[in-house]
Amino acid sequence: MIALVGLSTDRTMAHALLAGRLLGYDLQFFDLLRFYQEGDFYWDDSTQSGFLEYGDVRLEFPDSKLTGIYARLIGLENDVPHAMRDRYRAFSTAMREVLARSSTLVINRPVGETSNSVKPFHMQILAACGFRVPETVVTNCSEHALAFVDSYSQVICKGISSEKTRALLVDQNERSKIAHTQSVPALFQERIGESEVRLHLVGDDIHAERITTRAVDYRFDKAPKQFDRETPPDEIVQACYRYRDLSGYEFIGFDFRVGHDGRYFALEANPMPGYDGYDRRSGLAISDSLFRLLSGKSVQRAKRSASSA
Amino acid sequence: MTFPILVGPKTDTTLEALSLGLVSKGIRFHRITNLEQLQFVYRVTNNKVEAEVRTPDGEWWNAGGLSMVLRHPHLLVEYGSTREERFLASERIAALTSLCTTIPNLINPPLMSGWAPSHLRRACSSHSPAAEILSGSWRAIESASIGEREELHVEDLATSNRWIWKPTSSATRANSPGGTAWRAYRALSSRYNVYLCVDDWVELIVDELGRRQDVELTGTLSVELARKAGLRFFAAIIGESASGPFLAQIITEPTCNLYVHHQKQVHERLSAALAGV
Repeated sequence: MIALVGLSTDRTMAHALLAGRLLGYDLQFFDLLRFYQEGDFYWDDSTQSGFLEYGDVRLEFPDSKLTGIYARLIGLENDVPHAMRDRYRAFSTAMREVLARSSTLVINRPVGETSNSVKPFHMQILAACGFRVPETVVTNCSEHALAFVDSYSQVICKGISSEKTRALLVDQNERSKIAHTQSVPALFQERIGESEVRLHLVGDDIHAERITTRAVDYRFDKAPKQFDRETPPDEIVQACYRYRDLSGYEFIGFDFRVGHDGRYFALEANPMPGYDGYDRRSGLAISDSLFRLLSGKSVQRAKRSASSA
Repeated sequence: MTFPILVGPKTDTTLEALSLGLVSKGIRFHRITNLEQLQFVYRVTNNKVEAEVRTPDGEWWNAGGLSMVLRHPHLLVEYGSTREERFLASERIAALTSLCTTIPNLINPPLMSGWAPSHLRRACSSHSPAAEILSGSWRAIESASIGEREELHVEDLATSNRWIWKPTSSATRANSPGGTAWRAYRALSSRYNVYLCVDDWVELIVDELGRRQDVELTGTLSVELARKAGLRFFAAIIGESASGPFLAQIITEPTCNLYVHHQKQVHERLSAALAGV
């Protein structure tokens, strides 16, 4: 059996449940919201055992029938009334700690590399893994921001933290806002090429798609987009493996911009990728890799563990 | 000679004492109590990172020539109640964290690769046998198997408040300090040894377990692991369980009242680490 831990309202989780069932896997959905609201948990280090539960749904540790857990631990504590916040925070901590300590395979185990919440630092980690990263400035000084904006034909502005933001093209209107804004830090980045590549790494499996569009942020923009399967260069694949080995994550969504000269520039490695749209277009190939890994049918992970031992 | 920047809330007594010490030595420094006061630029060019910070007199310093003490950064931003306020707070902390990665002389780093106190404790626990219990039910904590001589040291998972529960006492959920979920570990007593560290200087500032070889070994290992994680100013608290001494806690922002009898030495060491004098 494979457990899926997350929110029923999370589009990616709903897709994973459907895909897993279509692919014929025995799944147990564990609702994070009900766990926070009415659940209970226990873990004892001395016996390496415990449970997570709510209502009549219970995950036992260890459980020989449970081959893996797909977890999308979306924080809710900021979205609930103040009186509930402590309980949500405590149960969120507990969920992370139990999944971190359990010997069951968890994708992704919540103890990995955490730089994704700090984008500029994250870019340093990506560069250290061998990726090329775009020219970037982070500043709360309008003079430096404007000097950078004026150095490139197109510059985008986006968030620095893990809060979801929409990338904006810095046009004259945005430029005048920068001139009058002091003290709030922002990230400015040279805009590269006219296509993006989203690469999902699942264990050793690579699934890549090229998105060609004039949209500044294709996730939100309604401009026409063309989706094509992509075969990334080997140097990119090797860098992805290096990041996987550094981070400890088994399922990662890498975002790239591709220059007119074909060079890949890494933007981000997402440890909780919203992979549903890409998966539908690939005929559930990403889900197939994910569930094979979670069911223990994939030999890649075992091989890698043996070689690193 | 580096330019020191002291970042932390106005109420931080360590930074206050450190500021006075630097003033008395005639050393220029920048005291930041609000992140809006910290003007900086962080650049990535050809995959290489560099940063500059503006001093109060308008001079821009390369981050490589700066030193920084960073304390309680989350108290420097207003998380507020709206999504917009929380977003701004997250952005400011992320920007500060990025800047910190470019400052070589930093006490303490807010984010090493994947570093977090819980990771550190787990790393240390492989050297010391403290078995934790996590529970969402107080009854489960009460019924945990506890030896006759043992007591449970309990932490509220939401607030990090701590207290001690002895099975022989009449304590129950009703008269516990509250909370909805807990972390607990079995300990033989409420006695601790506390090691205070500033770089390579280590001082045993609380000695309740005595200078036993096993306690000192655990203390040494814990200090080494904390240093490997990038910490330079911290306190390591060693407790004792039935199976031996263990790391109970790492305090990453020791306060003056913890090291009240060693303030002069600590602040001299910090001054030297920051300004080289």
